[in-house]
Amino acid sequence: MHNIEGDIKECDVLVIGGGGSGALACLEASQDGDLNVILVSRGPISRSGLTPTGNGGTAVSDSPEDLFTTMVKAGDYLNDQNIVWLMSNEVHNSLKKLRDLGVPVKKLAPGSACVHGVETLSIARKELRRRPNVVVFEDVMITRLIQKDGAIRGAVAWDLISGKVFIIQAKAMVLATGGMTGELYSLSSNNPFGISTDAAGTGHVMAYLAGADLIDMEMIAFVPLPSNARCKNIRFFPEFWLGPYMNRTGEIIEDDVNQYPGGSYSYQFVQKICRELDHGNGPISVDRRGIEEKYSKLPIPVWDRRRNLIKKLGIDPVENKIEISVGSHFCMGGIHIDEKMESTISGLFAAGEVMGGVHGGLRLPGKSFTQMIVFGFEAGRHAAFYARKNTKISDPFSEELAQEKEKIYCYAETKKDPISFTELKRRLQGVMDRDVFVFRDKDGLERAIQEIREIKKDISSVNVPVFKRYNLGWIRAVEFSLMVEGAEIIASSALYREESRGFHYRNDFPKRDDKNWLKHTVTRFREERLEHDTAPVVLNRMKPEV
Amino acid sequence: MGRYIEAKVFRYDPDKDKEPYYRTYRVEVDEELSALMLLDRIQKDFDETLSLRSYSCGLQMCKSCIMKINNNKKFACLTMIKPGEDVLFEPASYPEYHVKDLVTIDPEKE
Repeated sequence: MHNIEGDIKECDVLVIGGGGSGALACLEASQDGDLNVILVSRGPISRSGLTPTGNGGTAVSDSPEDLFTTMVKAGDYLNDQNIVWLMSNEVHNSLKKLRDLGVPVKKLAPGSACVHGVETLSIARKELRRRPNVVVFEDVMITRLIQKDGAIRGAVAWDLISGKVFIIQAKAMVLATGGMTGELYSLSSNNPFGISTDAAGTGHVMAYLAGADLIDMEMIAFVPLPSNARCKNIRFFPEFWLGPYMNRTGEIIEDDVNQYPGGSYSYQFVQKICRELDHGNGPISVDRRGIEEKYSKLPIPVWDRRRNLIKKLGIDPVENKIEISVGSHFCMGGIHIDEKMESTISGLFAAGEVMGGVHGGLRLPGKSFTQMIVFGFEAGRHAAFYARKNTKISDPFSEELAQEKEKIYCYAETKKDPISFTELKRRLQGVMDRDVFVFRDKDGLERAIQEIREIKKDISSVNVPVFKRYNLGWIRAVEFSLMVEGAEIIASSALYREESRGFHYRNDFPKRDDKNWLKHTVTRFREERLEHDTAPVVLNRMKPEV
Repeated sequence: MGRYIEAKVFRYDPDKDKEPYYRTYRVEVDEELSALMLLDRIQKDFDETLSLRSYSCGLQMCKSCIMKINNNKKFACLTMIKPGEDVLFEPASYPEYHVKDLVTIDPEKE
């Protein structure tokens, strides 16, 4: 257990997030030994975040051009092409770095490999612990970023075990806090068995509150998922999602998901399912009984093990008809960065799901691990470069520390009419499920924004039990205050984009409108208010056909 | 009857408690569920003061949810409990590496 003494920790590079991107950024930034690097993770590394829940599929592509073209077309041209080009060209180099660390990279079919999340993180963690210039804080949550004069200066941290709130000063920072959709919707692929994996988007919101621009936050991927929580892991059953999918009457509504760019992960298919449900033809089920299994043994031992677990649970889709629903999956939008991974706040870099611009309107399967690996290393490299040429300002940030302590501790004060946090979160998820889901329109989004603002007001009445050690209610209440801002950002961006593109579908603007909307929506926090703007998409290599 | 699970849970907050004690929760369930789902429900709906590592990869890979279930170290994410069963939950390690209730720090992490 780490002992945190004093109110201030100092470093050259601060990495926030203990998933794949954060761990690799930390390895990269610390490799020359000349910089002091701190890595902060909300949970133990390799035992927290979304990286361990992934199946490891990593798009490699033997031809960078092919990978680039596939992603840009699937993303409806909303991807920043300089970023996608970088990813497509850098992936082999990044995988070589992983192999050099001792991480097994198993080649699968042409164009894809398996990089296992838990393995990668365990190896990265061991290496980080060996380095004298790295300090790893686990079970510590960052609650606020500190920006002064347009540059990042540090962060406020909260030790979840001792309850201590302290400042970390840094010259440069890599934000690698992962996804934001897991907590916002009642059903999400992020949460195995329906239990939180902390994908709450606190990083997106902290960057926004510190002044960074977010782009395309309306672009949330939704995917079909087993309705019953105990069947959730079937999402990794390789053949399951091929269908056939049938409605209530037994009519087959889809038996060829491979016609869509991302298979069952495509908005075209998800919208088809949701229309069927809206017409009252639900529930939708996948029925693979009687279909011969293609593989007797899966190529990756972990996948084989997964299948055996599913069989053991008695939910093998080969023997059962499985009812499905639609839930959240991934946030394609995120922090607006340039090709050096730097945000609009100087010295603040972003990598992994928290960054925007990579996937446009649709993330293809296998591309998030590629994103995690390539941009994790890249962000670490650029942050190190930045830290070397900039000097630190030694401000104790006493005001920020005091404000943040007050904010955290207000939940522990006795309230006159206390509100249950669990109830408030269910209310927020209810709004998101109803109005900020697959199909959206002006009235619904305006109503959602209104209700989200009311929920925001009610946060001050949330009461948590008072004790300092690993207080889940308290952690989730602090997280919720950021999460609810994230909900407003998504709803408001969705209202702002008056067209349909990728996963963003507006009933009142059902067509893609390249003339007016082939651009990023921007959300930023100015003068204590949310404001919108647009920014050009980088289209330097390929333009949509007219 | 038979629609309930009785869960006896190890409780200890070194900041507050003189010694560990056990608290029993009687939870109504519709069907078999995993130990982690059961504990998550207890924490959310019955007792917010219970501490556990609710995170899991759901695949018996990451080891976040390892704890003693009926005296054996198990992955809570995929240990199934049926209606009508009684179950005992204790931390994977105590007093060494123990934080609070069911939360521990893995010795490898030191």
